[in-house]
Amino acid sequence: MEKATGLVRQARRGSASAFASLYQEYYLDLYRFALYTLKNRQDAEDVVGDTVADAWAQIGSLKKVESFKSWIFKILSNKCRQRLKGYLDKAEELPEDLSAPVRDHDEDADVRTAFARLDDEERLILSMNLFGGYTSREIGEALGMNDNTVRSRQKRALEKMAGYLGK
Amino acid sequence: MDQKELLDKIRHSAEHIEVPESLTAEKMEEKLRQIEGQKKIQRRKIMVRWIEAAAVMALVAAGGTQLGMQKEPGNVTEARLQTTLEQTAEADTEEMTADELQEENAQKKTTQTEGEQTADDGTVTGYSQADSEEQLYDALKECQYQTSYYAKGGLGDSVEMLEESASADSALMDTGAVSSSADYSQTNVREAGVDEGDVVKTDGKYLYILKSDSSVKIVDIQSSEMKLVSTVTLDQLNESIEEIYLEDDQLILVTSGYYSSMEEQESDVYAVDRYTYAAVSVYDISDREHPQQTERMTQEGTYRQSRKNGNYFYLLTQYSPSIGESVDDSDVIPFVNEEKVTVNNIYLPSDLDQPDYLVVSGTDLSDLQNPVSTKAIVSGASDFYMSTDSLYICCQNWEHGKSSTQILKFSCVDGEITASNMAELPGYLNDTFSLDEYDGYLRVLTTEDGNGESNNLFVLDKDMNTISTIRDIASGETIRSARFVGDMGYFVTFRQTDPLFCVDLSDPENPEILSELKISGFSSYLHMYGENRLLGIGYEADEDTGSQIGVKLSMFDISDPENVTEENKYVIKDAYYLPFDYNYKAITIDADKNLIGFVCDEEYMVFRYDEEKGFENVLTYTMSDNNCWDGQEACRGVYAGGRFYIVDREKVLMFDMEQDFALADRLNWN
Repeated sequence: MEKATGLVRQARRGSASAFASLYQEYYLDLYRFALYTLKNRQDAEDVVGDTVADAWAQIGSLKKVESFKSWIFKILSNKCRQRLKGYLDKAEELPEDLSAPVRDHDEDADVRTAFARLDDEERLILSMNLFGGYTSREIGEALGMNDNTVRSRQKRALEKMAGYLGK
Repeated sequence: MDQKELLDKIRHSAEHIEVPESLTAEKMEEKLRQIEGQKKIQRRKIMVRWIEAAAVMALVAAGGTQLGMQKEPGNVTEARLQTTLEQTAEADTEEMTADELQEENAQKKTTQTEGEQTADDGTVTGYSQADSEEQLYDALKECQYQTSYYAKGGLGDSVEMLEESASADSALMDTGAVSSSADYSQTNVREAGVDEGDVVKTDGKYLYILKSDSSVKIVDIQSSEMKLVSTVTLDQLNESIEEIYLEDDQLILVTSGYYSSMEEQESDVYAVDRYTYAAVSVYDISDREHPQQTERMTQEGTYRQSRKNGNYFYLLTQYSPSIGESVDDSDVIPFVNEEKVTVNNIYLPSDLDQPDYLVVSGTDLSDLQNPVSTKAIVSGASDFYMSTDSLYICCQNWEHGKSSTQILKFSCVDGEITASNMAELPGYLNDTFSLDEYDGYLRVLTTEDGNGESNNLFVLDKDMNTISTIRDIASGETIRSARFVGDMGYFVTFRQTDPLFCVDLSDPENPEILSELKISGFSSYLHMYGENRLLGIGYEADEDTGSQIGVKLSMFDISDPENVTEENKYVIKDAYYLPFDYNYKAITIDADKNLIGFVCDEEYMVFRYDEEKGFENVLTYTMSDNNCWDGQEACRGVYAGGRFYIVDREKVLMFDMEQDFALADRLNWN
């Protein structure tokens, strides 16, 4: 925390390398969040790039005691949500990007395929939980719903996935 | 496979995903250096929902066992900040309760038939009154093992201290008398006659503005120059203001508080007492410059909702019991005004799957210290609706592959809260507008999932028995908005196009869908606009792909219910964010004055409507001066006299409606 506070201070004063160090710690999860939520590599790359650009521009708004992680995930979640609205009810895409060429354990590919079959909100809720580390309450606040609703939607999403995975 | 296992698998599946080169830290640093030199104004949407007053979960641990993490709501001064940081360093788990509450509380002063006021307090299907603290403890302890999975660490190491006050979303149900008869605007409430707290209030002469979590500004708007008259600061330091109410010369503050004390019992052994509570404080402001606190009450739990009907006030909080090793080591009964709720006013479901309680009290504002009644229900309620004499608490469940909604009814009259009955319906509710009580009947719209989607309308009688239904409406689509107005119901479903349905409910046993209008996009909020028109605000979508084009306003002619038409529409392209979508109080609509005002992305927009010309955008004001606007959800448009005011956290802007909404005055505060 000590180290992070120092970096945040420097980043706020304009140090790109301090910002990049902070970013480094979370960039994998940021990308995974975007990819799993949007199901599309190009979109995920764009949205993370936009998030970093915006975060950099707004670094002044990062309040003193706020965690960098939560702040940058906030920006990313919001952008993903906007994008999802733009895909309003797109027909279920073949999750090519998610199960795309990776020398990987078969099960991982199956899991990604199953995940991709969930609807937008379900993917968003699970991504926020898994990659963003949000609590149900935080997810509820972000999405405008009650935390109980978040839990029940998450439960439903996971049951659906279990069903797709034949378990 | 259990949920935890599945979550782990999902996480694992992400581990070997290759991240594009452009996103590595090195490349990012290069990119940032390039941007550094450029001056760029970025549109950003800070997730306003995050900035809501953080709920505090309070666990009173009699034996000194700390079971949860506390966070302080709202804006924090330095002193409080320090204490909270120290506390969170010790915290283990999260489990915060959401501030979302949908509650409709209305009290009818007219008499009820005896049958409706259930004298029988105990018989609610599926729930029973608790008979002892031990029984409660046992039931909760049992449930705890099942839900412990959900207790996970929160985000980041530090506590977020951002300010904002949030209120529940739910649409406004009014039964026809839409506009305020007074010459000034009033809060866009769910049920006419039942007031709700908000961040800005007016009586036409003054604006009362919740400026931060600890102060309310009183601004004199009687002349062409606004004047700050006084600031009402909360007496209690450890509380922050959630919302305000205004009644003549009384300002009512609903606050969230956090109490903690530590007592050394033996060396190095401390008894820690911590809990969250909500409070209602009444201030006499007959002398606007010298407000005086007169009445006060406190109720344990996180603030959820409140309502005021005449002189009766209903407060809802969500209480998290703390379950220790034994009943003595635990706290399973919430208090109101420092008195424990009596055990038989606590309702336990036969099927307990989560431990939080909803605590609701009914009080007379002139005697807050002595509530008329208090009830607590162990329930994972997600939606609330309060009509003029009943409170409906809705719980969404998911089991065996589909959703269901449990609706619990309590009668609320003159502060007296009595358990009535419960109904369980298939499907889930879209939002609080999906249910409405009229003439004793409850009309409910649900969306069923499971094998594809479809929607249903149910009509229940006052004992919560279903007396009629229409099922399988718009298969493959889901409900996006609804509005019941007396005998008629209007709702919108959507997949790629939006049918607006019009239902005749004049015969509750035989509801009939009279028309279905298919248009592009969908409305997420419906509001009566005069007698023959229905205003819909939502999103426009491409008819073929369903992808969003922007925000849309639609005016529907509903004079002939069998032939509803979209008379006019207005699309704001590339607009995406409507804060009032999350909180209906954020929109200002008055058909008589012909004003529609709301925030769209980062602008406050005002429209007027004309049958021939359609929607006219009379004002668009960019609210953020410096890329840094926190105020989206706390922004309100208010009118009084011939002027329109836009109020957010930092300023008040005054526009002259008679001079084409020219900016006439501005008041800032830091």
